[in-house]
Amino acid sequence: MEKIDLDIPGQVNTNSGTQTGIGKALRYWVTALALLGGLVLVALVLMSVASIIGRVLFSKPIQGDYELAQMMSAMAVSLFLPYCHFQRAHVMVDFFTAKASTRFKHWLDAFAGLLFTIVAGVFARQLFIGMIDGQNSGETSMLLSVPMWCPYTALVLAFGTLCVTALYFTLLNSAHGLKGSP
Amino acid sequence: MTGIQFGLLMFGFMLCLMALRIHIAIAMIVTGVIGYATLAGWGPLLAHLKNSAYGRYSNYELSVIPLYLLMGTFAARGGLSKSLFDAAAVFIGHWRGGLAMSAVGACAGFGAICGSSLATAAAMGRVALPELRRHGYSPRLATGTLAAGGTLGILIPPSVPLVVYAMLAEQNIAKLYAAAIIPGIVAMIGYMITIRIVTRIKPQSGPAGPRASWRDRGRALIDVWPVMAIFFLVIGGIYLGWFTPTEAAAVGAALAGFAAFLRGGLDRKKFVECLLFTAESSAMIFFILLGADTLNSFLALSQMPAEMSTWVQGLGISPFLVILTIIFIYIILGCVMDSLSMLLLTIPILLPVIMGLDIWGLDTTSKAIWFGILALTVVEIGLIHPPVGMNIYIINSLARDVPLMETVKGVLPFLGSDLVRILLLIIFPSISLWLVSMIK
Repeated sequence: MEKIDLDIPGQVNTNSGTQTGIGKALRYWVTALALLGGLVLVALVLMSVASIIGRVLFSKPIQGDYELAQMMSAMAVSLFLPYCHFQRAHVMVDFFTAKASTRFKHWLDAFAGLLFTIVAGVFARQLFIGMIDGQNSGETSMLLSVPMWCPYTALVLAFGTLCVTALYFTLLNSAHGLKGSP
Repeated sequence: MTGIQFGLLMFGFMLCLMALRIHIAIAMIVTGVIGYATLAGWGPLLAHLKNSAYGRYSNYELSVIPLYLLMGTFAARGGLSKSLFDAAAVFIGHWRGGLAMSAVGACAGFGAICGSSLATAAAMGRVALPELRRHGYSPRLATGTLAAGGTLGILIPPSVPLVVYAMLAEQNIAKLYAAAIIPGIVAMIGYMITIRIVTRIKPQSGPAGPRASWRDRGRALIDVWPVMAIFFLVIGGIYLGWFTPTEAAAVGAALAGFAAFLRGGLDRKKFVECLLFTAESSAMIFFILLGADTLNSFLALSQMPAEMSTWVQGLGISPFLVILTIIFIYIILGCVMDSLSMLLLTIPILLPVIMGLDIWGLDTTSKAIWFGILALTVVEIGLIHPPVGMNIYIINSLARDVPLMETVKGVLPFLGSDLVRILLLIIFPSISLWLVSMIK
């Protein structure tokens, strides 16, 4: 159902047919986004620790740490999404199709990829509109007055990349389906 | 069409999509989008989608999830899993089956600093499998023990599925953690008793190891201090009112990273690996969360959960029959689906049903907490029963020479222990609720 080599931390999945130029470039890009997200997460850790130390020792927490944590975790987890898809780690059920031919599975995966592309595309588009709405309305966070569209940029970037990644896999699977190669 | 009919129709549609290799999250989103648009129109749907992803991902309570995963990854990298196993083995390794029991104890210990079953099974499997095999344990007992022991990862707090349940059921995570501790310990003891029985029937499957000196025992205990410190801060800090759960998880991640750095397991390359692993496992969870969020917006609109609850109440059957039916549904779903997807799919519908029943005269909050622990226990069984028990596959990928069927057979006695535990949890709700009443 899920991919099972997730027990090897951080290992790059090299057998996913992504050795071509576009595949390579895409892998660098999604990995860069994931690492960026990881750094945001580490920043969240450091900020929380700093805020606690400030609160305990000087009774002065970092102002707005709560809303910063919200923004940072939203940015981090969405930046992780394309990398996870590239590693083919998004969960699916392969129980019912386990015995089907490889070619048939490629076609099913191409169809699944098409739906994935459309969903990610719609989310990217709506998030982009949401971001523009936010810019126009000038809505800001409560304590720190951070414009609300700022964290949205990370989500638009993440879902846009997710859409491109899904499209890439759709084409890859269609090509495999046409050729009938494994 | 009534809400129930439309809801069930869309549910069937979604399960068909899932069977066709469409990602679970995408199947949920497509179903949710079609259902939402049918009931409310496309305009409101598109407006909803502008903010739903950010709304879900910026949820403060959920931000503990990537932090827990980071903490667990650092802890495994820093060799804390090995320290835990060694510490348990020097104390009880000389019993018959003692090393397997040590593995179970170490899984429980690792579960106390890691919120995921898969990560626990993987981390402990890598450490304990070679040791068990080296001491002449049968492959069946060794792999079965670790696959089952891994499930302690989500039962013992911190726990990613419990965080998700807390969000779905709008319950306090601190209370849920308190409720999970005793069932977690009961699970650990149950697994140890299982090993004792198995090794009594077949003594050659788990030979006794050498007895360790008290000097070694002392040293091994000192070696696990980071685990104790992390657990004390991450869980204890919440009850002492020092931190919010998110802050506690951040402190835990920082400590685990620091411990890994001190022990020399965290250079730049490994740090990057830890980040990427956290990225992958967090994204897996959050993508399903987005799918479930979209689906649940539709379900709420359809009134299906409320109608379902009224319908079940109208049947006038015994609440315990309802509960047994629910457990049966979970075990069937567990044959094709992972635990988090199951919780996200079923809780919004089943929780209102449970809340409408009279169970041992429990009040609303107690009922929700009790059902959360029960549901967690039942879905966790899905991790170790065929055909898609993820822990079985993970352990099997670590022990390539052991046939998959051997691992499946090795897990069976532990499944028996799980079923006994489920009955205990139903009959004696105080196993879950006693500690909760203590912390008020």
